[in-house]
Order: sequence, then C-alpha cells, then structure tokens
Amino acid sequence: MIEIRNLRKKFGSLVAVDDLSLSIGEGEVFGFIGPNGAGKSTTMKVLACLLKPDSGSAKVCGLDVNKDGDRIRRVLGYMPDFLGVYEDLNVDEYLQFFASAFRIERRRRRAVVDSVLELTDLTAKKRAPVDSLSRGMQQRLGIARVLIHEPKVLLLDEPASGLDPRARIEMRSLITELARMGKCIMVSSHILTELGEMSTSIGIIERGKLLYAGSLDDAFARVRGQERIAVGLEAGPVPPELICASLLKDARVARVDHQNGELAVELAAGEHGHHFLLEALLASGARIASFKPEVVKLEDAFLKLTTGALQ
Amino acid sequence: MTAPETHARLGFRDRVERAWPFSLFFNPVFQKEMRAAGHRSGTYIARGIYGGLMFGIVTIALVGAVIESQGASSDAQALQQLAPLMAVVLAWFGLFMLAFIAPVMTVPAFMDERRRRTLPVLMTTPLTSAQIVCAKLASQTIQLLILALLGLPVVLGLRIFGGVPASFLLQSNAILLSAALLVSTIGLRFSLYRQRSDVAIVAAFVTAAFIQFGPILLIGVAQWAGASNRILVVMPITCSPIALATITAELMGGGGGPPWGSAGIWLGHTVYNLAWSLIFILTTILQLRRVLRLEGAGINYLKPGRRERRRAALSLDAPAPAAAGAPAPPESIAPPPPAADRHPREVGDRPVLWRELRQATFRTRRGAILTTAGLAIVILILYSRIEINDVGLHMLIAIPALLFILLRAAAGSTASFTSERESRTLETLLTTPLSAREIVWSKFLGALRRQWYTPAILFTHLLLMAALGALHPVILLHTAIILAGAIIFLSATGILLGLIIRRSTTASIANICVGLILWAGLPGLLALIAEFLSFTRSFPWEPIGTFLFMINPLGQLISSIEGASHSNLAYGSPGFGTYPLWIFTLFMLASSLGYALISFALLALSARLFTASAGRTS
Ligand SMILES: Nc1ncnc2c1ncn2[C@@H]1O[C@H](COP(=O)(O)OP(=O)(O)OP(=O)(O)O)[C@@H](O)[C@H]1O
Ligand SMILES: [Mg+2]
Repeated sequence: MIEIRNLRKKFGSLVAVDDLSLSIGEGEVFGFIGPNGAGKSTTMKVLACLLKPDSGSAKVCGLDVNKDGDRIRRVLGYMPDFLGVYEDLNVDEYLQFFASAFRIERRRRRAVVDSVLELTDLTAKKRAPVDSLSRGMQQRLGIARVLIHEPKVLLLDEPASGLDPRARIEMRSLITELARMGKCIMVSSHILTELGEMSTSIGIIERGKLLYAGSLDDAFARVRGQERIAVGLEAGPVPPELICASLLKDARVARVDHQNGELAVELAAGEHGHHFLLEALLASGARIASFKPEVVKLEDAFLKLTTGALQ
Repeated sequence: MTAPETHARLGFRDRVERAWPFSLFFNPVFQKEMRAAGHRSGTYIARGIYGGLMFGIVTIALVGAVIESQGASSDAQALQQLAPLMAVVLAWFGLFMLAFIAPVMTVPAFMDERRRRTLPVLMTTPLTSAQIVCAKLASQTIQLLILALLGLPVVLGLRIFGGVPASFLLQSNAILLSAALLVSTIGLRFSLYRQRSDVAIVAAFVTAAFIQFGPILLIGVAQWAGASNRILVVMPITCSPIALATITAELMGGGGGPPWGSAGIWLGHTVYNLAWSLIFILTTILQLRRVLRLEGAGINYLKPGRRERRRAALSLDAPAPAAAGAPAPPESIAPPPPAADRHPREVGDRPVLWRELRQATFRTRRGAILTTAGLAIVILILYSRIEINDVGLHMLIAIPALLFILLRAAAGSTASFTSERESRTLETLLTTPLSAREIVWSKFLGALRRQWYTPAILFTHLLLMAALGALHPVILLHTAIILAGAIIFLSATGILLGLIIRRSTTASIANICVGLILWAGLPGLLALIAEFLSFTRSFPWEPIGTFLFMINPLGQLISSIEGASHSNLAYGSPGFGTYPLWIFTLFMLASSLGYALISFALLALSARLFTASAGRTS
C-alpha cells in the first residue's frame, strides 16, 4: 500500500533522503530504524504530502503524493514526532475537532471519539486541557487522533517515545492489533527491541540511504553470519598463538584475536553449531575457562548494518 | 575547590567578563542573542528597509536640490538651504521607525524562550534575572544603534556640507534613541507575561502612548481645573513628538517655536524616557524572578486567576478530593480553558472556524468587566465635562477608539497562522482533508469576530449621541461602513503576512506598517515630494490628495463626525470642498467596497500561498 521508488529529498545541499525505494503491503508493520538525522521523519513527511520530493515517486494506496494529496489525506493517518497541541482545547474537544476536520458525520462523532479514547486509555482525561497532559499522555492522544478517521495507512513517527513500560507494551499490542485489521503501518523508532517484536519487516536507514529492507529474520541471519564467541583460557602447556593457528585451519572460523588469555573467535558467514569450535579447542590442547557466544540482538544487527555504511 | 582559587586561575579576559557592570550586560545570554540576530534574515531585512528608506528620502532631497540649484547661485548654497529640512525629516523618520522596530526586537525576547521551553534551562544556570534581562536589552539596543548609525554618513554630510548645528543632531538623536529604548523596555516587559505576541505588541504600544501622551491629558485636566499656564512647560518633556517638534521648530528658524523656549527640553525629555525605561527594566527583572519560580514549579502562570485555577483543578479531579490539600501535580493545577463552560462542547462541521469563534476576547471575565467599567468611567467623566454638542467630545472618543481598532485589527489577525506554526499544530492540520480555502477563510472570520469589543464601545457612544440628538443618526451607517472596510482590509493583509512571515511579532509589525504606509506614509511621501521637488508643483496633487484622504479611515471618520454634527449635513475634507450627504455616503461605500474586494483577492492569494508556504504538496 506504500510504494516508494528512488525517492530523493534535499534540504539545500544536504541530501536527507537519497534514492530510497521500498514497498509495504497490507497488514504489514514496517519498522523504520536509523540513527538521529537519518531521514526517517523526512520520508514520512513526503508520504504525508507535507514535503515535495525532489525526484522519484511515492504512492500511498496507489495514489501519487504529488497529485492526489486530497484523497491520500482521507486514507492516511500521520502522527508527527512532535505533537502540536491547541492549548485552548481539552482532550475531548481536540479529538472532536479532528473528527470534524476529517468530515466524520456529526452524529457518529461522539461514538468515534469515545471509542478511540477507550482504545488509548484516555477516557479519564477526557476533560483535561490538552497542554496539561504529560508527555506520554500527549503521545497517546496523538495515536488517538491518528485513528479517528480509521485510516488504511498509518505513519507513526516515534510513537513510543515518552511512554512508560506498560504503555509501551500496550502500544505494541495496539499496533499489532491494527495490523491484524489489515492496516499498513510504518513505525519509526530508536527502541529497536520493541520494533523487533511488532514489525513484520524492517528498514534500516542511514544518511538518507536505505541500507537494508526485509524481514527481521533475514536481518538476524546476516548478522549471525558474523557471530563472535569469547573464549577464556587458563594457562596451560599450549601457547595461545598455537591454539589460534590451529583454530584458523577450520573454514568455519573467519578470524581469531587473542589478548590476555582471551580469544575472540569470529565465525564465518552461515549457520554453524558451536560444538565444532569446542571440539577444535579441546583438540588443540586448550584449557577452557569460559565459553561465551555473544547473543545477537537487534541492536547489534542495527549497529553492524549501519556502521558498515560509515566505513 | 575554593572560590578564590578558581578566581586566581582566571585569565584577564575572564576576569573582566565577570566584573560587575560588565557581566550584567555582556554575559552568555547577550552573546547568544547577538549570534541569533546574526542568523536571522529579518535583521538584515530591517537594516535594508531602514537604510533604503533613508536613502530614498535623501535622494529625493538631493535631486530637488540639484534641480533647484539651476536657478540658485551654487550647488552648495542650495544644499545649505535644504539641509535643515532634511535633518528634520530624518529625525522624524528615525523617531517613528525606531519606535516601531523596537518592539519587534524585544517582544519575542521571552516569548520565544517560553515557547521553546528554555526558561527552566536558563534558570538552572548561575545567571541572575538581572543579567538575563539586561543582556537581552543590551543586545536589542545594539541592533537599534546599528540602525541609527546607518544614517551616520548622511548626518555627517548635513553637518559638514549643510551647516546643520551639531547641537541639533545631538539633541534629536538623544530624543529618538531614548524613545526607542523606552519602547524596547516596554516590549520586554510585556514579552514576559503575555501568551500571544500580538496582544503584547498592542499592549506595548498602548502603554507607550500612555506614557508619552497621558501627561498631556493630565495637564489638560489640570489647566481646565484652573492651574496656571506655566504647567504647559512640562508638556514637551513628557512627549517625544512634542520634544522633537520643539527643537526642530528652533532649527527651522523658530517661526513656530513654543513661547517657553527649548533649552533643557531635550535633556529633560531624555531623562524622562530613561527614567521610565529604568522602571520597566526593574519591574521586568522582578517579574522574571517570579516567572522563573512559577515555571520551576510547573505552574502555568499565563492562565487565568488563581481562584479559577483552583476551581478548575477541583472539578477536574473530582474523585480525588483528598489530594486537594496536598501539593497537586502541575498537571491538575492547569485549568481548562475559561471559555470551555460557556460554549457548547459540540464541535461544528467547520472545525477551524469553530475553534476560532470560541476564543475569548478577554482572558478572564474579570478583565472584561474591569476594562468595561474603566472605559465607562472615563467616558462618563468626558460627558460630564464637555458639552455633548461639542464636536470635540466625539473626536476625543472616536479617534483613540479608531486608532486602537486599527492597531488591534493589524496586530491580531497575523497570529492566525503564526500561532499554529509556533505551537506546531499546522502540520497536523495539513494532514486533514480541510481545504486551504476553508482554513484561510475560517481564520479570517475568526480574526474579524475577535475584534468586536472596541467597535461596540464606539457604537454605544454614537448610538447614545444619535438618540440625544447631538449627532445625525446617519453617523452610525457611516461608521459601520468605514470600520468594516478598514477592519476587513487589515485582517486580510494580516492573514497574508502571517503566512509569509514566520515570526509572529514581525508579522504583526509588518501589518501595522501596511496600515501606516497606506494611511500615513503615502500622504507624507506626497507632501515630501511636493516640498522637495519643486518641478512637480504643477502636478495635479489635489485629486490624489483628496483620494488618499478619502480612503483614510481616520479622515473618513473625522469627516463623517463633523458632517453629522452640522445641522446642514455638509461633509468636507479639509481644503477639498464639501459634498452633500449622499455623495459622501457613496464615497464611503465605494472606498469600503474597494477594501473588501482587495481583501477577498488577498484571501484568495493566501489560500494559494498556503499550500506552498505551509508545505502541503498537493
Ligand atoms: N526542514 C528542514 N530543513 C533543513 N534540513 C532538514 C529539515 N528537516 C530535516 N532536515 C535534515 O534532514 C536530515 C534528516 O532529518 P529527519 O528528521 O528525517 O531525521 P530522522 O531520521 O527523523 O531523525 P530522528 O531520529 O532524530 O528523528 C537531518 O540531517 C536534518 O537535519
Ligand atoms: Mg524524526
């Protein structure tokens, strides 16, 4: 439902989004990850018809952002990274305001507003002025606002920032639930573990370039290919240099560094068990003090994939 | 580590920077402000406009001099004849420009800090309130000085080639710089405690007008109560335009000079301005202390009075009465909008218009009552002292009312978009299917609706006078037509400028300038051209002058009041003859219709621009 082809957006001489292509289908949750200033918000703004792309094309539900802004706005919910609030409205009025702006019939508005309030757990704050809400509650209000016209496509720019742990979990299940209803959702975040649990696919962007787009498992696999294992050695008859040399004979070992009686073993790409390494170590006469495979987290995947571009 | 130890290690520069009078002004806040001013294009635009206008005036005068000199014995002689006039024009130009630019610079000073929520950050630094206020003021004053210095070459030229006495240049600059400083400090004062910049600007100008012209009113009252004429001596001391008029009259040959002489006037006036400035600086410092304290406690001090706040807090958290005694979290202290209960909760089908329409004219009901009561008392005093058949009474009420209406219309309408942009709600609004046209028109109608108060006061007076037979009832029709034209026009230009100019203060001042240029600047320019360029004297100025007068709301209102007070209903414009009632009415109608048409065109343009300037791509 989102189709971006060779999108490019410049601010003066700074290329914020560079030749970006991706597509997101119905019921998908696309996690958009990247360091600060990578171009996530810019991409979303282009999709929300708030910025004109310099070149390339972007389509939402088959509608071109350059031509069909009016129709896109009706099917798209965009939640900016910063929620602007009218300080003269309360929560209920704020939502009614947008319900009216999205041309929801007057008699349905009450029910719609109540249901999104319920969904985001804001019913208790219905009469509170918007600018008195805490950061996290404003964030929830932002979500409530986005859902009010039942958009098919959701662009959520860092929706979880400022939320407490419980609200994060709720947000995650809310997003999963929305995806199950067939909405297409694009979520940007810095909280990678969180994206990992809810997104069906992720995109990693840095300096405007999309470094990786695809399923999460693929991303893990790529990183796991360069798995590292830390091996602690006790002093023994065989010097560490010899152990290193004998380990390197195995094709599955890409690299071995040694320092202060600790070996850092980097495995070659692909899926391997760890037992072969243990066996090789024992065979070489090493006395093993500890054996610690590094757990691969999304953070590592992220760091690995992004620093790759910097070098 | 002890304090003397750290001090001993400081370099010379650091030590100078920490010395008392120096650090009061030239501290990090000052440096930050200067840098920020350097980054803003507005700084350079202001300098460009100021320099350009001055250059224009000088060019007109010089061209005039060269043409004139073909008859005179030498260029130098012609220049010498012209120099005093030019010095006078430049002095007046400087006074008005600086007085208008000053609040542009200081009104955003604290407003921006508050909007970006940087005040609490400032509070956590060792800077004192006095340092913050003085540094802000110092940096803005330097900007003003730079503007004033732009004219230095011309001033020197006048001194050297034109023989204008140095004393005049000194005196006039003392007057205009002290006046600019005064307006700056007032702007700074209102920057602290107002939510909206347009309100702050209007408040600053009205306060400045009170300080400058209020004493004259007092003198008038005193004289009328039987005080001796000698009391008039203080008049030029309290009022910049009169002080400047006094010394310019002296320069021009004393023809129109005041009977009491001008010695010491400029000095007295400068001291008067500086004294007021000091008062405002001190109160600003005190207020900043309070604001920082409240801000630190998380209390929204811009909201209505404490009692309403408490009531709101109680009604908000009704199920938790136990918490009422304990220090409540800031969240529950902040009240719902005061208007919330007076207006229906149901949002209309035109949400932007709905929101605009429910914005209250007054922040609190108490404010509204106090203002109305105060105005009523003043008007009643006037009624009791002045004969209602005296046209002066109506002028005394109508002219300030009109000036305020125009000021309010010009300043208030620009906030429509700048405030959305500043609270970052524009982006969200743009992702809704609302059309640009609907948003622009809603904002426009909302701006119109917010301005009802002063016209209502004026109409009450006129209605009363018509009922008492002091004025012909047609005055009501005329006033309605005149006000409608002016208000619609200024609101439309305000919407457009609010879209083009990002900073709300600048947009407001720019819109005030639109009114000033059209209704004061153009006639002034014509007078200048007619005065300096003698070859244009054959030019048919009169119809142009009549036209400019007839489209000027102030001129229109004066004429219509004068006409309505005559028994024969003869409407005139000074020096341009008189017209019968129906022709005058047609004139007014045509003029307001013209304004309305221009306004609608401007609104259509705004709707187009809206897409581009606000960022919607399609
Ligand atoms: N209006 C603008 N004018 C100029 N530069 C901009 C503008 N908006 C964004 N940029 C620049 O474009 C780049 C991408 O910004 P963007 O906001 O898309 O990053 P982001 O990935 O959302 O970062 P973050 O994680 O911090 O939100 C940044 O270098 C930013 O400085
Ligand atoms: Mg961002």
